[in-house]
Amino acid sequence: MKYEKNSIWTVMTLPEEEIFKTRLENLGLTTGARITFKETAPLGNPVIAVVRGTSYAFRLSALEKIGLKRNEL
Amino acid sequence: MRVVLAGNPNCGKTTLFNKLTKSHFDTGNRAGVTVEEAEGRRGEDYVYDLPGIYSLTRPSNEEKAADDFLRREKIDLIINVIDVKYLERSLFLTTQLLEKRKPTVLALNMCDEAEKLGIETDCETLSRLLGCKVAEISAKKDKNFDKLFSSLPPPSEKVFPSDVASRYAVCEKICSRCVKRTEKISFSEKIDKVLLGKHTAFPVFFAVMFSVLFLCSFLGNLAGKAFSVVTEYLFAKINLFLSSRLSPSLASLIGDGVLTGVGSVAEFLPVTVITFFFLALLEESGYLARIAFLTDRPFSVAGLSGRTAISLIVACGCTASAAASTRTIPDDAEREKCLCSLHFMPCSAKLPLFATFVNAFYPGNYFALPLLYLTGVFCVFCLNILIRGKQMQDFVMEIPAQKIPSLTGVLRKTAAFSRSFFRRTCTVVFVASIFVWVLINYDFSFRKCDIESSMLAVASEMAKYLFYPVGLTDKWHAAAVIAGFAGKETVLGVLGVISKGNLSLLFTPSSALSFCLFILLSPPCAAACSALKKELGGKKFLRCLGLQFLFAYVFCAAFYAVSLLLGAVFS
Repeated sequence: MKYEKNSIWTVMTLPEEEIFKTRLENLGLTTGARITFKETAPLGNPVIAVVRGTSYAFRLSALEKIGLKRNEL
Repeated sequence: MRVVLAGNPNCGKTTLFNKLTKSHFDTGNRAGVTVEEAEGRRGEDYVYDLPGIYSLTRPSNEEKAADDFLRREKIDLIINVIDVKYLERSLFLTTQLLEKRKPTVLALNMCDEAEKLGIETDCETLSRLLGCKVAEISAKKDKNFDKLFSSLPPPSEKVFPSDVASRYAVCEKICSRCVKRTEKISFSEKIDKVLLGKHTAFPVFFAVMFSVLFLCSFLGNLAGKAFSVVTEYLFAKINLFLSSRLSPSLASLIGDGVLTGVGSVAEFLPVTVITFFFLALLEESGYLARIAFLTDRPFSVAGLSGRTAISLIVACGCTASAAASTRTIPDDAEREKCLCSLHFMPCSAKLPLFATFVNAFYPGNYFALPLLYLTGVFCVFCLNILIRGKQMQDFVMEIPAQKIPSLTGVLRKTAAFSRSFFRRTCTVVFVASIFVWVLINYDFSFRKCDIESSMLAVASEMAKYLFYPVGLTDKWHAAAVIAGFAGKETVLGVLGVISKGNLSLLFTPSSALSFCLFILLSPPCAAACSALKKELGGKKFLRCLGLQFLFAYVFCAAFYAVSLLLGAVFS
């Protein structure tokens, strides 16, 4: 699993699509935001991650459009 | 004074609004339950409840509607309701609201819950940093509402950066100065280990769904019977009274037409209310959002997402209510597909019908009813894999904290659900059942006649050939399907009148099966159709209706053909 449980990542880039980008920004996913991965669904997709104190379910294909960098421990 | 309540989805705005204005709007532990602004009064003041929004700038319908509303209306006070657990995210909207330069109060909601999670918020610092009034309230427990209205604060003069990322950075900074967190493993996290765990999630899911559906049909059946004893007694009294006062035909219209219509609705009303109660329980606890999370992967195969699962579960109560619940689906293509497949779920009006058929033809078969639900889900997949269309990819959805639902919250929600359901059935189903009554009791020259020569009998004599390929050969099968448009409970009513309570006069076990399958899959009742039309618009609605009929027809015909073939092979 790429997104290990409790691993913390930083948002580097957001998708180009205007609508999806703004939806993410509204949820608090801006460049520089930290995202902490929690549960993975039993079938491997989607995953739950915490952004600014709120939990969201992300489908992996949606996450792929966001540029993420894993924080060093 | 004109007061507007604004805040993120699922922050408790509507609970506060209901308490302030003593109204009963629908609330729930998931995002997007309020979809249109609501107006209410608190003494002299007008209070408006906006749909939940994350910001004012952005393209989604709710956000645009909220922004337009704030521009259009003269507002004296903005109450920004905030779930303190999610202060950091909520402050983004707050900064935008403050820029409206109107008197603003921050209502910090759910403080007691946050305290249990080890989150402490320093209101004074927050108030100083934002330049506006801050009040701790508890919308659920009626705490400190007067503080919100006590005095009109001056508008904030703070300036915030215009760039989204830096504005959020400001919010983060403010938050880090006001909020103290002591890490505790919350109740929600503990229970999620089981609810979302790799090996436990699906067993729990199926156990929950099975017991909910079982309880609904069991309790509903019991309550329905008790209810119908009472209504039958009452109607007999009313009939007696009517026949002594009115002319025979008018007495018959009211007695047989209107009262039977009301009676048939009354009979399945308990099932519906009980189903709504369990739905409210699932929703309040936060499990509904987790179901969306668990089932997203399988639904993605059909180009849908986990949000569709939520609407399908609501559809087990009533297709029309489920139609309104699809508004939280942000993707238009997915929403349309979801609306077209809602009626595959056995709604609470169809349930008594199926239960009666199972009892009559497959007695003691406990798998028959669950099998119908599975068939419904299977058809949702079939239909959507067939029409496929644009693929939905960007599934992102808020997962609220799991909590023990409060009984008052659940009951209030059940009441709200039932009220809107009752309003709908009282109008549409009522009119439709009078219409069906006329079809059954009059011939084409509008003379009173018995059912054998009624308009319905003549029409279904012609229509029955249409239903031959799906395995329905009797004209009364066709008649019942046609009458089902008024409301699925009238199907049982019509069959009851014709068969005089003995269904085996009309059906063989195999044609009973074809009949149940066709009722399950055929387009929904008039009330649900009008809800679908409202959600889809005229043109798309017609396309959807055509698709529903075509799918039901082809699927049932294929089923019938296969069953004939198997019958021929094995006999």
